[in-house]
Amino acid sequence: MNLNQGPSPKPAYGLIRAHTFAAFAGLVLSALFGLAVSIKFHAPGFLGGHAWDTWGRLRYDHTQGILYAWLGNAFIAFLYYAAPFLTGKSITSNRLGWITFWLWNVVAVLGGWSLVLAGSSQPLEWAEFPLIIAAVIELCFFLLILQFGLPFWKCGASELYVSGWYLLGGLTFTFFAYPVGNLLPHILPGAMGAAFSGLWIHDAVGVFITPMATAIFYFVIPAVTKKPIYSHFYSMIGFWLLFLVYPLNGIHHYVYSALPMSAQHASEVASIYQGIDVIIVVTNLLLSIGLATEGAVARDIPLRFVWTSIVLYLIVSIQGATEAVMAFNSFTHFTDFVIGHSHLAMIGFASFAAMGGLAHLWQRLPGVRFNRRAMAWSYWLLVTGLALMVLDLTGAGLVQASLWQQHLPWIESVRASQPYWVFRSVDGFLLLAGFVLYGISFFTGELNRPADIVVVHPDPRTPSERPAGMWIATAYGATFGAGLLFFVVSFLALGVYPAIRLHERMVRTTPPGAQLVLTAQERHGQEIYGRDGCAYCHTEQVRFTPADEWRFGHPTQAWETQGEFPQMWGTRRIGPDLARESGKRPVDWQLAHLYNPRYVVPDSMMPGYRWLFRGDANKPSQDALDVVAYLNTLGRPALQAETTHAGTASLIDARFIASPPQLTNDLEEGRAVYMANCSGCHGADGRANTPGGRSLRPVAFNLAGFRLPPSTVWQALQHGVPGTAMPAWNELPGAEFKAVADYVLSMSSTPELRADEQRASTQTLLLAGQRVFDTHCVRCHGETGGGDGPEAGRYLPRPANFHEIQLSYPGAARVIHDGVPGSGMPAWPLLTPAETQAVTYFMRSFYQGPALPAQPVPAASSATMEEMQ
Amino acid sequence: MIAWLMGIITLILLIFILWRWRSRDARERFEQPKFQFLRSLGVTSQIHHPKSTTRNSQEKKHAKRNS
Repeated sequence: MNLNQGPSPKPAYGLIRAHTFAAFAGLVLSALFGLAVSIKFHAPGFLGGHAWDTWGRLRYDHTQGILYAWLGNAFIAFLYYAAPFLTGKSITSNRLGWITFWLWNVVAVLGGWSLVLAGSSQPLEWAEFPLIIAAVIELCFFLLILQFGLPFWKCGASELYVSGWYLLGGLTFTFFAYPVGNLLPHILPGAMGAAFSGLWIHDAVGVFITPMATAIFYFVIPAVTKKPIYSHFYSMIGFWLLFLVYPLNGIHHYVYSALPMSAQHASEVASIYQGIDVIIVVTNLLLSIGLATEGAVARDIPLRFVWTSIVLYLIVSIQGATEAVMAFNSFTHFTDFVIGHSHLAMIGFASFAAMGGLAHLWQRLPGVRFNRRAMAWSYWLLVTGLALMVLDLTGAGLVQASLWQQHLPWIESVRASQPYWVFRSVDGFLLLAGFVLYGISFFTGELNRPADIVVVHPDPRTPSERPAGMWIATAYGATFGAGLLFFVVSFLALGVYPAIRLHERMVRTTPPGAQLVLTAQERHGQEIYGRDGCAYCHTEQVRFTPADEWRFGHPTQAWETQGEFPQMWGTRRIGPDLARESGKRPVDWQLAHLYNPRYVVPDSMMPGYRWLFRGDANKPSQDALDVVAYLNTLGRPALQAETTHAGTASLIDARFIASPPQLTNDLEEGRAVYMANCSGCHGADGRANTPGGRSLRPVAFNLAGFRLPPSTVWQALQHGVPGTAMPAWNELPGAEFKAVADYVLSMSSTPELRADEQRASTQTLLLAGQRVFDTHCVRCHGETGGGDGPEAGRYLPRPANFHEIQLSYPGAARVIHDGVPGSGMPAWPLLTPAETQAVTYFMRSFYQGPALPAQPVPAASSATMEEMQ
Repeated sequence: MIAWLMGIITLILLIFILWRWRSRDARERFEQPKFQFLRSLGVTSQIHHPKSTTRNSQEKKHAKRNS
């Protein structure tokens, strides 16, 4: 054997143990964050609805925790174990290791988690920790390169074992790529920033997690089987292809967007290449296990984790490559299908690899406990939980995709997803139990032998190899050089090139005078929107797909995004896209929705943001007003341009405006549709006496108190009611549309006065009512009650036309006494009950709609004209 | 355009790999690190002379054992 002289290097036991324990803590806490996020899908008020525990902030901590607290620590622990075997050298410095440990765990992880919960974060996927924390993490990557790069440099080999290539490549490339996703979207606006953000989204998985996991595969398999891997040559082809094509995948998160189509196609092609690369890698790995062992996978539990991870790596990579194909992407993107894919990648591939690696080294660490039985149980719990979760999310994604393609209200997809989301939480508990049991297996069981790990100290150079002459001929030199080169290639191809093209396009297409810069108030609202994770449920990009254009309007153009720092295009839609939100809803609706979404959308699963209010939806803080101000900037430039250049053209697609429906008598179905969509504002009984209905300005219409003609109901459902929060419901399927219209018509109850209620004779009521009407009402409602008085034009919504609307006595009394807050109708509290009855009687006389049901004839009243006065 | 560039780069890499693969020495040298790694793990029984550890010979060995 070709042995070096000198002391045999030893793994740094203390650092391995410290990072392993930190990894367990990170795994359990991150999984708890994830479980809370999952529960909030079907129980939005879970944990009480404070600022710190809102969905968005927990979601940020969940993914950042998985990346840094769990996987980061696990990979670093493995690096400390593997580096001496791969280089024949000790690490650079124990002290450096401890400095990195504390920086990584206390400053970056705990600091990052705390800051996110306190409201300091950035809405950039896989880069949610604030910039100050990002700087610390970048420093840690530099320290890790010092720690592990120097031993490779010292060993000076030109032919390094493949695990070493992956470890070096992963650290080097991540060091270069990390600032791209964190910093550039703050500097480059909208679409330009999105191109760079897309790079990091994929690099985090592709050049940090994947190389580390693959290094573990190639390390653990020969270490357990005591046999060489099938082909080192294939393994190196896989390595180089990975670093060439993985970074070029980035933009596949933004296909059908405003980014240059050539870059989108490139990411699509790179994704397919990636799939091919993974087939090569996995074939080589499975051959290494399958041909060289006799049941080792069944015997050795860490190897079982590794084997499962390899199989799932193949599945998730093929799935990812398929998702990047544009035709498939137009269907599944933004759905839970993608979330299923990401969980398969992060648990099935990355976490299983990390678990296999940690368990492998722990079995060999002197003086620690290892419980095989607990670990075997954790394996089955995790496999079961993961399989159920991925199947569940894949099913949910396909259902959502299918519903989004149909012309149905958005909320239908939320309703249809609820059972899947509940089931996901159940799966989440299984996974959490598996993680806890996995951790327990490191503290219980038999004590390992106290003997040191022996690193046989061969010369890293192969027997036939001459010492590398120049540094570039060494493995570390080649890896560093290639890492830099491939980073530059991806940076130029999918970052700089699209940015240049986008800049040219923006300059060419921006309409003169477009209001692109946000005011201080709007910018503050944008910051709140970003820190609370709104962009992780609501995308801000209408894609160039028929389904998007039908539902949301014109696709998002690059020039519109110039005011977005950072961009919040998003990669998931749980709620609808908001890129065209400007002017779509009145401010009061937005505020009521922000305070408690279920006030106005009964089946919404969005969390309420009550801390932005002073105890009531009508008492917003400046922060709430700023958020709504920001929402009204989304799509504003396009709206202005459209108004300027296309006159009165509307963003609403006119293709689906149909003729008035023939109403049905299916009141049961109508009630179901009403309860699902309308009861939040109008109330279950139609009296609009709900918190949501009362929060709106004008307050929601009392459907029970007024008889409307079918044409008015149809008009309101089809187009909404201008000047109110009533949206159009023309996305409802025809049968549901008709049923709910019919049900609404059936809700009104406007009977004549009973004899015992009537305060005066008919003649007296008419005369007194006319006098009140002429005094107080005629200026808006007009002399003939047609809603066309001289001041009617000042108000939106327009004053009521009593030829079409039949008043009920209780409904009119409520309106006269309270007014209609938010409309032109004031309160008339000084009118006596008798006057109120008289003016109602008078106004009812204008009604020209369908005849009322037979009513009891009023009896003679004892009231006199004098009493009425 | 970028997709074409990627295709061209891949083609160049493929030609380079095939060119290196033609050399027996290169093929043997490519496989050396896996044996070197086994040595560092303290495993010596599975390490053979380079000429008998090519891919083909491994396949024959596995086939024989599995038969």
